[in-house]
Amino acid sequence: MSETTTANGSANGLGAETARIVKPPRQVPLSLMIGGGIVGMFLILAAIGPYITPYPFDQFHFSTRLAPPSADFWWGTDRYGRDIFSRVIHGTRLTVFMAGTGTLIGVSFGLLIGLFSGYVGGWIDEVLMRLTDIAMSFPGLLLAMLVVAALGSNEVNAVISIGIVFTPKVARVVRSATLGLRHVQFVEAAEVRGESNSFIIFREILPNVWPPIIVETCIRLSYAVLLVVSLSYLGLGAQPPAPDWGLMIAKERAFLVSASWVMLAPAAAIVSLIIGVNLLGDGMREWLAARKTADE
Amino acid sequence: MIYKHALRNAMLPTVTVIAFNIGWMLGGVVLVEQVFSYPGLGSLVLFSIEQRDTPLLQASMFFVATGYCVANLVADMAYALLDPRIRYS
Repeated sequence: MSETTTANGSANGLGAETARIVKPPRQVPLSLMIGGGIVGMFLILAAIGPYITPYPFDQFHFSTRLAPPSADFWWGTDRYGRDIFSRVIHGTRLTVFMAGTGTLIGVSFGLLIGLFSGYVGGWIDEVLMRLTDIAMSFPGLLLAMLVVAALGSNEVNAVISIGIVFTPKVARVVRSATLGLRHVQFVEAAEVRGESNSFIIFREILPNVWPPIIVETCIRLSYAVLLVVSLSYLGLGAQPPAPDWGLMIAKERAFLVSASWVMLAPAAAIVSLIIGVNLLGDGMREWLAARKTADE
Repeated sequence: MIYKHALRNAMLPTVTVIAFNIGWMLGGVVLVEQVFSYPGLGSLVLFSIEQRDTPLLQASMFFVATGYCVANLVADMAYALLDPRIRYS
């Protein structure tokens, strides 16, 4: 199954120890490529989109309100005459930034809490886990609504609330992974050497728990996009005239039958982004699992 | 015979997913009630947030959290029913 070839071709017998094991080529899973492609496209749109849109997102064209898709307005106009295509592209940057930042905040804090709690153990671990239980006893959207209600309805508070919602869930995953690595030999060797706790956590344990963290981050990203859109739909996240997709759907709900393109465009954008992120997460999980079995 | 043996074992992760989804549904009910204009617990939560009615918000959140905990409890008890190896001492 594995062939050994000497790396330096030495003749004195040390070549066997420097031999390289030829691994079978690792296939990148299809879902990873498709998901990565979709997410990459959205990231590019988020970066350069606002500079290539034909119209600014808040420019009214009162003479052509609720116009169907045409050559002038590629995806039509909404009730105030704003170009839907430009608004969706501008909203890409807003949604991607909010969801990404919220996930990053949640994963960072969850990582810190999970690593610390899993490594230290004892009553600190118990107390932290009971606190995360309390936070997890609310459904995600309701906890986010609670935080936004306490802090006020704008984009920054929506990002903070997403971070708060995701921290306990990520902390649990990280803690379980840390517990699995708690009594491995190299960790015990580091303890015997007298390394400080933070050194052990960040240099020994963290590099070995990052595969499940990567997968968890991707999954959380898809929930984050859903949370951002839901909060904005309820009027608790982005405020008008921000081109957030959820806000667009909420505002134009009256025209669902008469001018359906107004709601279909942001809905299609939301669906494709979430599908892309989900595929990315699935592909990451497959790729990391295949990489793990190939390394062993 | 399949129903007797395979179904009992296959239901275990299904019950877990059901409990998790009930939590997610309790969160999504807010959106659904907003879309279809049903008067319900989700609309009450939204109303209390808009009107800054903190005691009402606390009470409705308490209801929702209790419902979620009860659902999880039922799921745990279903686990004990389905799998005779799991028994609480």
